[in-house]
Amino acid sequence: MRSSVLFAVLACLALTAFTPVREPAGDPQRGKAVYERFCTQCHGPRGNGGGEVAAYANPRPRDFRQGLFKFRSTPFGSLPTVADLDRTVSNGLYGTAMPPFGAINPRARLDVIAYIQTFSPRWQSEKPREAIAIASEPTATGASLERGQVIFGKACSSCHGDGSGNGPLAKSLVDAWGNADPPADLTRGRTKAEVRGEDIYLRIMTGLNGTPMPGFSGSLSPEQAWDVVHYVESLGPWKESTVGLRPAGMMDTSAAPSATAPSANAGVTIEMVGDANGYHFVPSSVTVHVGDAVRFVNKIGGPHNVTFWPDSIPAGAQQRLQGNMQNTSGPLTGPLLINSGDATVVSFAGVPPGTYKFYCMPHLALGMKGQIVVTP
Amino acid sequence: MAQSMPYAHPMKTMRHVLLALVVLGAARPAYGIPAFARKYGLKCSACHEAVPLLNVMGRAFRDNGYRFNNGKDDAISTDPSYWPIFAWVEENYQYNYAKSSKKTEFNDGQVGPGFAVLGAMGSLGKNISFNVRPIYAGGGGGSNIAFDVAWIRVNRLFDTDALNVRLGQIDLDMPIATASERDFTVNDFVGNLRSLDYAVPGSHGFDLLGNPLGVELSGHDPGSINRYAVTFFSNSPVGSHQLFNAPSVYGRVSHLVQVPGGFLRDFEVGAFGSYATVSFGADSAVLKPQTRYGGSLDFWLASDALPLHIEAIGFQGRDDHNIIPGATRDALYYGGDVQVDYVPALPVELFARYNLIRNVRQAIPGRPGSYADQDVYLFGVQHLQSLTSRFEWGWQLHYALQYDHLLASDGTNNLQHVVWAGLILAF
Repeated sequence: MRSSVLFAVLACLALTAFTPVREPAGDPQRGKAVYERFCTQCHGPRGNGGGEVAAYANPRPRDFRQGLFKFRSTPFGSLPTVADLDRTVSNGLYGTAMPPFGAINPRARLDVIAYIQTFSPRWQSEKPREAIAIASEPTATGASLERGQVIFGKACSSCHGDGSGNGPLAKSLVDAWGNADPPADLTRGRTKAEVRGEDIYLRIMTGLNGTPMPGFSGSLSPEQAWDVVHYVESLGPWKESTVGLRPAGMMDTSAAPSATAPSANAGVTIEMVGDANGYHFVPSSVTVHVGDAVRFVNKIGGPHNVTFWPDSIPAGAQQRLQGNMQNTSGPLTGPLLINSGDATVVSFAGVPPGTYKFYCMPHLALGMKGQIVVTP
Repeated sequence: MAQSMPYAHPMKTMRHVLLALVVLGAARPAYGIPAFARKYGLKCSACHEAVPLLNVMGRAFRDNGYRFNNGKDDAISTDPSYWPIFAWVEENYQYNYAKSSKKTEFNDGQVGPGFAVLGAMGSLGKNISFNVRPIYAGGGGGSNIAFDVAWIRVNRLFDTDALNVRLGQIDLDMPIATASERDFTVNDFVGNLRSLDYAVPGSHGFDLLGNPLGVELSGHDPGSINRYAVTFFSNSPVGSHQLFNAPSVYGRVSHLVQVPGGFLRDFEVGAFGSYATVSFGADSAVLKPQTRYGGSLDFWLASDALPLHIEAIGFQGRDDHNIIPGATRDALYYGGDVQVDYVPALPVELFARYNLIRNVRQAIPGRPGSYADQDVYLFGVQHLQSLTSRFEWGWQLHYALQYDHLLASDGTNNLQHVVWAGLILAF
């Protein structure tokens, strides 16, 4: 008996030793069985977020068909990496019906992720963009909290208010699926996928796809993002809380200068509006001549930006238009206009006539888009 | 455990003994807890390889005190419609054929004794979990109500998963498949459902599956890769006035390996042991030991979602000769189970098990070496399905064959065949 047990133990160790350690790619066929065991009750057999108990879940389970995933390390609008999805599957989403599945075999998680990727055609036509690197964290100080508070007041408080999610726009926010999407209460010390400072940093920089929460990687420097992280960590019992660093009287809201100042004259102005009636460019369609400039102004409900669709502008216009935009944060992507009054100008000098379609990246899911018709 | 009692009685009373077993409801039913499925909006299959057998997800959930720690565990954060109450109702039919001393003892079928459970299980807060599971068992012309388990657990002492404390009538931390009874039934006409139930003829009925009163210290790492549990318990029957006169201890450690590639998906190695005492003398001051120690191996093959699960358990048992009337030396035996579970497609499960007992030293001189050895074969199929997130039903059909060596009055083997069909409703 003893020798048999010993043999069995040795056999197990041998199997471990000779098994390849390289993580294999997920297999969607195997993943289907994993999905049916663990996921269908909420996400539905077709991945539409319409499982049996979905109606009772708040927030609603993810509809995988759009390829929109909130918790990523990639820039706003991008698909997530497999590691991003695995992090969500493994850790679950705190305070939601999504439990942690970290106990199941890592390969099973890769398999189910591969299967989830079959629900949206985006996975065939796009690749996740490069993950945003997490810059080294500077030491949190009272000064960094104060700087963070200023940025928070300009970029975040319209939704997050004083940090508890009571901003003036909070009740009007909806996600890409039309569900109410209240901003996170940052005073609780933990949000769905954010526990540590690095998590908060990523969320600030990447935003949440399919929600009104934009990514700030194009408008905040790493140092500024860390300042905001330190300020957020002073709002509640976060794992790395900085509440002890708060200078006296910090709760006073301070006004701050605009992060992005208007810098060019333009004949036509398009206002960017987000209010109880929705998110719109006003007017959503204008006609200009070649050589004119259009000024985009954050009126309310920001942050907003303007991004042109590369495949919805005249052929050959892309390079020139890119050069005509101010402070771009990506291909045909203007800067994030955080404060009311912030503006950016797009010149149509030297571009071919035609229709130029654009959208607001933070609020595309909410239908915020428009067009400029450029005539000779 | 009462299941071993047939071997201590004349064969002519076998039927009465078996019926008494039914009434006593000695074995442990274990199913999915639909209350948890309701609470978390999950299928039963999320936590059960096949109900009641837990998968790694369910085991991690159990190790966390029946919590996912995702901010939705506590009553204040769950749906108001959720109540931590569950119910099981079971009824069955069994056909039995038993042969002893080359004569047929019985050969008939009957609607078996059902049972009903109305239990409560859940967490009262971050640090407190509980499980209260009273059973109403009927049949055999009588009925009784008894607690299967009743415990309260303090989770994460010192804010670490490495230390949790459970107090009450506890299901000991057994190897994976053994921790969950295979059968729907409260009892069965097969005497020993598990080799771990075995009791040396005439000995005190010590049973590792007996859910004793005690205190358990347990811990694990994230994902329950490494686990331990140490239980200090009383070997006296629950309700005995000698409750604290038989101090005993049980422990188990296990390590799970999640294989990144290949046909072998996961495997687990475990070791367990117990040192139980039986008290003697006018003041119950003399304690004599019963020891069990062994190991277990679990393999999950081919698929993570629909695995072929093989579990092998081997152990040695030793009972002090003072516990066995007429004995002049300690009884020593080896036992083992090999169980195979396969889920070809949810929610169907095929299962098979072989149990054996081999006595290597008889406590009473003159007895043949293989006296009271056992071989038990079990094959079955079950189908357990959630009708909704709030209700499940299922059926099971199994066949069992048990040999008890040399136990018949003429010195031949006893033989039992059982065909069992049961229906369960769980809410």
